[in-house]
Amino acid sequence: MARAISIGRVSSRLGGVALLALLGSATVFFVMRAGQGDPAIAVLGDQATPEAIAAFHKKWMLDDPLVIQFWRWLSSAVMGDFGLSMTVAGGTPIMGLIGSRLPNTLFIGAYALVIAVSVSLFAGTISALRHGKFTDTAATSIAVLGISMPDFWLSYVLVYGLALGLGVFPSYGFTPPAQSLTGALYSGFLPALAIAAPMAAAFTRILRTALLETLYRDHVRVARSLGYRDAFVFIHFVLRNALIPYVTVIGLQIRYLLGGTVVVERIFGIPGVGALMVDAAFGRDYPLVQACALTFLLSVLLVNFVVDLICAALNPRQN
Amino acid sequence: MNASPPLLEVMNLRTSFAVGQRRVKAVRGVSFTIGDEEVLGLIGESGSGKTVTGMSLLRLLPDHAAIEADAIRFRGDELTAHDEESFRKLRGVQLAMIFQDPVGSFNPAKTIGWHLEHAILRRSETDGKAWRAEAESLLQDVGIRAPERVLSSYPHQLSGGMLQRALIAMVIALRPALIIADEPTTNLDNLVERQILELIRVHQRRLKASVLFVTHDLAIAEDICDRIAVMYAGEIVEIGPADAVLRNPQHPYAACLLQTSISLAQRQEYLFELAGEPGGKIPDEGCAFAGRCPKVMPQCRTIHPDMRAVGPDHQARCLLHGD
Ligand SMILES: Nc1ncnc2c1ncn2[C@@H]1O[C@H](COP(=O)(O)OP(=O)(O)OP(=O)(O)O)[C@@H](O)[C@H]1O
Ligand SMILES: [Mg+2]
Repeated sequence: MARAISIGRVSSRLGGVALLALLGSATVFFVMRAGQGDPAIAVLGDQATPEAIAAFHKKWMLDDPLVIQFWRWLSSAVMGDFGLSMTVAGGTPIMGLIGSRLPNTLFIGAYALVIAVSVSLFAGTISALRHGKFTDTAATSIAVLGISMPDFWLSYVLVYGLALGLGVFPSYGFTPPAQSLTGALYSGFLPALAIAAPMAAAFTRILRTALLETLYRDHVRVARSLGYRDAFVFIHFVLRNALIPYVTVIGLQIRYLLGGTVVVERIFGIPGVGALMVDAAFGRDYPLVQACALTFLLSVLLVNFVVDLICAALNPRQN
Repeated sequence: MNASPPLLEVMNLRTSFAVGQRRVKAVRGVSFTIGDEEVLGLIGESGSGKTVTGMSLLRLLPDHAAIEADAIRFRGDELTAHDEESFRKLRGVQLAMIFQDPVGSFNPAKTIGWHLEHAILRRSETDGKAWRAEAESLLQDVGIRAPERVLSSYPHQLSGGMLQRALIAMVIALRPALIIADEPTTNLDNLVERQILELIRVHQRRLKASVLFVTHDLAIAEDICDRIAVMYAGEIVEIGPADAVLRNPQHPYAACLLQTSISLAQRQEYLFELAGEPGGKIPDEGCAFAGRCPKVMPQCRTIHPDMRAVGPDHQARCLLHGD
């Protein structure tokens, strides 16, 4: 049963989100500027004349003091205006660029999350119920392997094995969900799997631990003493209580999910915000990097907020 | 003519736990019967195996426990012959248990109403909202004056006494023939303890149920029990009518236990103390109590005594009583 979350709590959360967004944006802004490289060179090429470079700088106001530049960026970003991209087609509105790519990233992220959650619910349950037996040992070993596999490495293994070797899935390219949902599910499977594998491993481990802790609690014994069916006892008395730590860990892993999309989008050629941000970083396209980073940051904070709401709803002792 | 069998007949129950490479024998050959509408008290110091006995009967122990018995008959039906699924169907509706820790007995994620609803549904296929009326009247039966509020409360919002009442309501909803009550009032304060005991007695009579009542409080045992079994180191060392066991104990351990409790009750300066450690190593042969027994004889260290009649329906496991 969901409980109402107090207004005070929500507004203090929103204040926190705003503060984090500000700090995050400032960090990205100043770190980018501190690095080597000049967007003028990236756009105009190595052979650009000093006059052309000066003109470029003047156009984008790159020679103003950094604090002024940041303030200028911040005041329009607050109004929802992220300006124009320096690199993409000589001045494309950033809002449009992100708007067209965000659905792809969210799709891959959600797809990976669904895979990780389904796999871990299954594997975690099996290994807790068959605690200490062969199935548990096997599932736990695979989980350890999964955790220790970096997703870029797994991506290549999957590309070679499932795409190039067996020819079951495409190794490159992506059909956006807006175009065809089944196409997106099919072409997005390998990238989602590459992101999901290490997460599924982490989720499986926490679920197994939480289930084993709950399995021997008194209220489970009481439920059994009343003669309830095993499945009923497991779902309502064991799993239901193990979900609280499980969902909490899922919330903590969300940031890796988005980090994963950055890598995987590049490898599989998915036109998402992650790939956009990497290209923008190489091109020193400051406003575009800023906007992409902020998008990621807000997504993480939003998901964490939702996870917190779910946790509060799961645990009557909160609130 | 066959007399009808007793409600529960336990013969030579043995329960051990695998701990590392060893097997810890927690219950070492326990036998007793419980008649219809009878309350059998199970008393003995901490670690003597009372809880393990109760849990063994309901098969509620974890996997590393091994339960063996020559026979466990419930109304003549051999329980050891039941597989897990058919035994599950007996739980709750025939044999139920009330536990020591009422707070831990409830699912922290669910309301009391949810708990009662499923207990009621377990007994009968009550449909729709009908369970709610029954739940409210059950809560009133166990002395809860604001049933609507309690039904919508979560366990952490209620006191231990309130939760124990609610748990009793769940158990009586199932109308079991045998209730195993494992120190149901140990965690409650005195006044509440009295009320809960009274409740258990009232409902035991109303349901015509039998009770295996585990306690280490002899005053409670005297109040509530018809017969009493005294456990020591996994064995029953004395069993008989409550009056006989408490007024005239025949086993030295039972006598010591009684004296301890009397000196406690009278808050005497001098407190009778049982020599030795409880739950220490049990000798391989002889009487388990020999090492601490004030009346120990040389042969006690080698001969393991069997149960001997010491009065009408009254037996003790001690060599002092020749057979
Ligand atoms: N799950 C278990 N694993 C291993 N040993 C156990 C387990 N449960 C109980 N034992 C052992 O069995 C013995 C009997 O324990 P039991 O809980 O039955 O005692 P008790 O008479 O109920 O004591 P108390 O009055 O403290 O409740 C103890 O020595 C205990 O260590
Ligand atoms: Mg106990």
